[in-house]
Amino acid sequence: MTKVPLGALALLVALIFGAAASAAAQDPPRVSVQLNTGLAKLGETVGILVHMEGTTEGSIGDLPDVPGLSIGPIPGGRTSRQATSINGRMSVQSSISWTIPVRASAEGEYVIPPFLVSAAGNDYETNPMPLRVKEDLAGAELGIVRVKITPKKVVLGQPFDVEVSFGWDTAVRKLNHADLSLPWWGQIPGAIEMEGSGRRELGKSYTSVLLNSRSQIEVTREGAGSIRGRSFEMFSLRRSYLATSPGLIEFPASHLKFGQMLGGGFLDPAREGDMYYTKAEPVSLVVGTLPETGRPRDYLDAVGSITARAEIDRREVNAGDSIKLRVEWTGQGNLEFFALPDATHLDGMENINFYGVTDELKERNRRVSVFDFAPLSESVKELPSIPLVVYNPETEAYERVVTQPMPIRVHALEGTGSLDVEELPELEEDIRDLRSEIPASPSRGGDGLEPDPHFLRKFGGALALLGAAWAGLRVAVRRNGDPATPGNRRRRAAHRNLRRALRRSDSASARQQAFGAFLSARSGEGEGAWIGRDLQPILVAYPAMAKVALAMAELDSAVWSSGSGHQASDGELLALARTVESLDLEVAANTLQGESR
Amino acid sequence: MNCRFLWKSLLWALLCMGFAAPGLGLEATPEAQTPSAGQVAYRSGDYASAKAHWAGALEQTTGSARRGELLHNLGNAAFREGNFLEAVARYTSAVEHAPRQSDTWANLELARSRAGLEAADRGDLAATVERLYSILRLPELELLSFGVLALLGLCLLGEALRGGRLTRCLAVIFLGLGLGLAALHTWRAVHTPAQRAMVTASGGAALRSEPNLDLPVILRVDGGGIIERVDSLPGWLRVRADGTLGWIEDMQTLEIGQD
Repeated sequence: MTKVPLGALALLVALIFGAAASAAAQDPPRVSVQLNTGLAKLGETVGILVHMEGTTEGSIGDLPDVPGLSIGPIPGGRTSRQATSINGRMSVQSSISWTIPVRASAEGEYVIPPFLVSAAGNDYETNPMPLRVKEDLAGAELGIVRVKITPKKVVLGQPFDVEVSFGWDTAVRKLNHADLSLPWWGQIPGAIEMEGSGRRELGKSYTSVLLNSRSQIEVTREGAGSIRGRSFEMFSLRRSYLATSPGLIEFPASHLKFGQMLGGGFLDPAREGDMYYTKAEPVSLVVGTLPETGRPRDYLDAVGSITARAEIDRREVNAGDSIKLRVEWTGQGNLEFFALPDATHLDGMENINFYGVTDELKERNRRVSVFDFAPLSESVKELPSIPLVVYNPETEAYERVVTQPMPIRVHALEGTGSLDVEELPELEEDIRDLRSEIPASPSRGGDGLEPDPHFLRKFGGALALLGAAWAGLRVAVRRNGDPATPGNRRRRAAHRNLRRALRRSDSASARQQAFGAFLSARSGEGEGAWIGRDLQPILVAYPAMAKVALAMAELDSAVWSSGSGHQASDGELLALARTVESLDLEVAANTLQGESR
Repeated sequence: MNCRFLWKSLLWALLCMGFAAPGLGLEATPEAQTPSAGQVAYRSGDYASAKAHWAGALEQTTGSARRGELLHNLGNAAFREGNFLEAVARYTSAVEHAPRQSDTWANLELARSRAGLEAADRGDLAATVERLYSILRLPELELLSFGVLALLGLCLLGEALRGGRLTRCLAVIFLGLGLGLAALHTWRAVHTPAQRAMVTASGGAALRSEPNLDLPVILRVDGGGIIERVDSLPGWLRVRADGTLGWIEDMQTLEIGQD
């Protein structure tokens, strides 16, 4: 394979584009505007073909307005660019084209007047284009389309139905295409489509047709019917609307195109075969206003022929319990749009709380409202009737639709007659009450707690005085020895220890030990020093010790006789201890120690 | 000396200090009695008469507990009249006379809120310390200081007679406590202005260099602002506000604090 130099390739590309640019610069754009046919069937859409060659920069000016013809809208332009080589010379063809739809609403000879198109910055005026529209007699014979509005006259807020019924002769064999052309679809001024309109109904068969050449829409199969003595396969399309402004609502002519569409495969583009056209005449609807005279003040925009039926979920309740009143509104009317009556202001709402209402449009002609009440007293015997003012266009009068009052039985709560009907007040912060006054009397004029201007001086003086007193007392006390020595503390604790030991003792021996320990602590000797001691030498100097000697002897004999024999009680021992505390036992002990030596 | 007697005395003295404080006036005891003329007028909705009665009683009263009650009630009457700044001034005085009255504190906070003022107790640490610091009035601090001094005396007596580590420790504790209370007392006595007033005019009050309405305003004190009273003339107060000395109309202020 031969290698092509990169530079040579670039030169070739430059030559191609250079040649194309020079060609474009040299040739002015060619513009052609023409109808794709001069003869059309009524209902058929023809096209104005606008083609600009030699440029892709083009635009179409304002389209002319021709009575009886619907021209436009202008679709987006299709551009193409094609490079060709003839005898080694490269040329580039570029073009842009549009197909503007044109449809006639009636038979006749039409002329589409000139209008401006612009190509590569130059303006061109088109030639007048004649168009002859003839009714498709075969289509009118083989097909049918009708638009019916019921009722013929409505008032503001009243719903109305639009039914489009169409079909074709069952003798038409080659039929695989139907296009329903409804120019008013989705854009009816002064009316809005009602919720639930177009919903499928049980037991009916549906199929889809093309609507306005753009989208598919589901229509009801009505089956075979006899039209003009021939058998037709019929379909229908129904919608409900609500009139929202008074005046005339016009529905322009509608068309049905049906026939055979050929091709449609990958290699075989779709094209029309035998096509038939038929037309429905334009229709209109008058929307009147609601009469002012006789309009009740509680009118809530209900229009139509409406009935109401009420039922409750239970007949017996306790006071304060919820009970639900279900009201079903049915009939031909604007069920979806009227406001519900305010249950709080109904007659017979005394001792009944109203908690709210839930509301739902069940079907196109059925609305269900559930009112939630709570009777508060057993005096409530029925739930009140719910009134609704409805304007009936048939009678041309305001009527009052009223549900029946619902008898109920309310049981009082145990221990209470009824609940408080009044609403609880909102909580709000408030000041706390007055303080009880102390009576103003001379004796209570003041509480004696006034700041002392000499506080610091007094406080300092008292502190100094305390310090001096403490120092003096301390020195005086310690002249006789330190009271905090272990011996002194033991002596001071002797009586307390004796009492505790006697409380714990369970034998004569333990009691003897306890009393001996007491005497030892008071005399400053070791424990046991007073057990078995001969006290005769000090009895002359300390006569009170005679009782101590006797008690010790009794305890000693009790110890040796295993507890038998008389011995001093705990109280007597503690009394003896009090007596001993007044004696200077240290001196007595010294005397005894000297005697023993 | 009998040791048990001394210790029991010390114990009883401690207990008495603990339980006798309310009876000594640290906490007022409510009493049941027939309603006063002020209360009767207040209950009937005649707040002006109630205020006149209580204001008259206030002038003749020296006791802090009673003054606190009267000021609380005056605050309530002003609140009911819708004079929230006046109520704030009354409650502020009341809590200084009776700093542990939760009702008065609650009313003060509500009145401040209604008057559009910041809460007296902001809830932060500084506000809590300030509240603790002012929980006792000066005379109560003095009483408490002397009580602590009495306990110190008992401890010293025990230490002199018996010695021992416990008495010495207790003596040191009470000495520190007494000195702390005395220091707190001194601090508060020095730092609490003797005479203060609150601006109760909702639009604030004008400060002039001389007591003359024709002179220019040198400072404007907002409603609820605290000013220090320095001097007075009929209809005028000489005050210090934000460091500025000047004259303010008497009718635009209310005296606050302890007398």
